[in-house]
Amino acid sequence: MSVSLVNATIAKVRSMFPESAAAWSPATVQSVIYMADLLVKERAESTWNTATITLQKDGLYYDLPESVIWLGAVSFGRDGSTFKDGTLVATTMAEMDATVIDWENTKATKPTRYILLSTPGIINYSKIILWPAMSAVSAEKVRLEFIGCYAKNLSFVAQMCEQWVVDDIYGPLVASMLIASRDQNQAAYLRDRALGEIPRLFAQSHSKYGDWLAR
Amino acid sequence: MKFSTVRDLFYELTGDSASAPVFFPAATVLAYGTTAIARACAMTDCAEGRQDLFVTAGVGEYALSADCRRVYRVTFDGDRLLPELKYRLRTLMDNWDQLTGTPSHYYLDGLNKHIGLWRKPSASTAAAAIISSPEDGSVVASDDLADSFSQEDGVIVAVGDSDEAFSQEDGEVVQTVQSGGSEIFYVAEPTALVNTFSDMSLPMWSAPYVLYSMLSQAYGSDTQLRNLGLSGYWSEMADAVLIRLKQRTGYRCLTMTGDMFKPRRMSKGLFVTYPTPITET
Repeated sequence: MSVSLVNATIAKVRSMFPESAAAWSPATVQSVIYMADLLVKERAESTWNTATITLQKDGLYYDLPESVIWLGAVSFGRDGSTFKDGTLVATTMAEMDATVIDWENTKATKPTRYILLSTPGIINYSKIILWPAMSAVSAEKVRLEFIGCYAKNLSFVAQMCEQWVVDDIYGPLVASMLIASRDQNQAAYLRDRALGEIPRLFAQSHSKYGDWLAR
Repeated sequence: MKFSTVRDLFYELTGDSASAPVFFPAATVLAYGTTAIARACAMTDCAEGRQDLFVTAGVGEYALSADCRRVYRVTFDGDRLLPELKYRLRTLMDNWDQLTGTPSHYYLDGLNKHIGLWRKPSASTAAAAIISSPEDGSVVASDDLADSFSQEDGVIVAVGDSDEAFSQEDGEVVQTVQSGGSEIFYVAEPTALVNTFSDMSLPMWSAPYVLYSMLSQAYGSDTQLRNLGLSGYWSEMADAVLIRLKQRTGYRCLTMTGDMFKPRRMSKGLFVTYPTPITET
C-alpha cells in the first residue's frame, strides 16, 4: 500500500510515542524525516532522476545538480531531445593524461567520455567534464541519469512510499533521532533496526523481481 | 544546501532556542558547523578545485589559491607537468633558477603555499577579457559580438577595458586564457560558513553528517547539557555517514550501481607458490 511519507511517518512516530505531540511539533518531525530521507535515499539508492546539460562551444566544465548522489549514465543527444547518439564512458584525469595527448585542447562534434571533478552533489564544487569539447553547437545536450535525493521542498513533501518502508525504516529512524537525548539505548536499538531494513529496500529497488533477494 | 536547514534542527533537538540561545550562541553553532564540514572534507577529499594561473615571463613561483589543500595535477597549455622536488633542482643543477622556456615540471613550496614552474615560463599568458553575466549565469564569449546583449545580461568589452569597474548588475569581467596559461587542480578546503544562509560544501545527501557532528560537539562541550555518552552516540552516527561519503568519493566513477558496497569475492591465491618444474628436453 502506498502512503504519504511525511504524514504516515508522523503518524507512526505518534503511535510509537503517544505523548510526543507535546514534545515535538509536526514541523520538527518533518525536518527530522527529511534528514532520515537523505540517509535512506543514499543507502537504498531508490530514486532515479534525470537532468540535461546544454553543451556550449569549447565548453569542458559543466555544473552538476546538487541532488546527485551517484551518476549512473551520461547519454548524448544531437537534437537535444532523444539522447540516442551514444553513451559517454566514465574516466579519470589520470587515465586521460596517460592515453590522450593534449586532451584538454581536443575539439570534436560529439563528447565520448566524462570525468567528475569533486564528489557529485557539492554546490559550487561538483563539475562534470564532458570530453572532447564541442567544436560547434546547435542544440546538442547530454542527459544525466542519476540516483538522487530530494531538496526540502514540495517534491519531498509529496513523496509516496510503501507502508512497510514507513513502519520498518522511517518510523524507527526518525524516532531514534528524536528520543536520543532522552533514552540513548532505545535510540540505538531503533536506529539499528531501521538501518538493518535498508538492504531490503535496496534489493527491492535494484531487482526487477521485487524483493526476492532479501528473502 | 543551506546551513540553516541543519542549524534549525540542531536547536530543536538540543532543546535550545535559535532566537534566544541559552547554551549555544549563534557563533558557536556556526563554529560547530564549520568544524564538521572541514573535518569531512579533510577525511574524504570530496571537494576539488581548479585554479587558472596567469603566468608572467621570467617569474617561476606563484601563490596557490587560498582554498588549496593538496595539488594533484598541474598543466601548462593543456600539457601535464611532472612533479619535482625543489631541493632536487637546487642540488642537481647549478643554474636551475635561471633557465627559461616552456615549463615541464612543477614543485610545491608548502611553507609559503607557493607553486613553482620549472623552467620559468619565457612568455606571459595571453588572455582575453570577457563579460560573465551573473543574471543568467552564462559566459558570453568574445566571438558572440554579433549578438545583442542588454546591460542586464552583460556587455562585451575590449581587453583594454578590463580595468574598468563593473557592478554585479552589469556583469563581471573575467579573463580567459588564450595561450601560455597554467591550470592547477587541487583538493580543496571547504568554503567557511559565514552565516546561517551559507552553502555547506558537502553533498546534499550528507547533510545529516553535519547535524550529527554538531550534536556530538555540543554534547561534548562544557555546558549544563554535557553528556559524553550522547556525544559518542552522535559521533558514531556522524562517522557512519562519513564512511559512506568516503566510499562515494573514492568510487565515484564506478558505473555499476551498488558495486562499491557489495562484498568482494576473496582471492583464491596461495601465500606460497612453487616454481614451475624445469623439464629436460
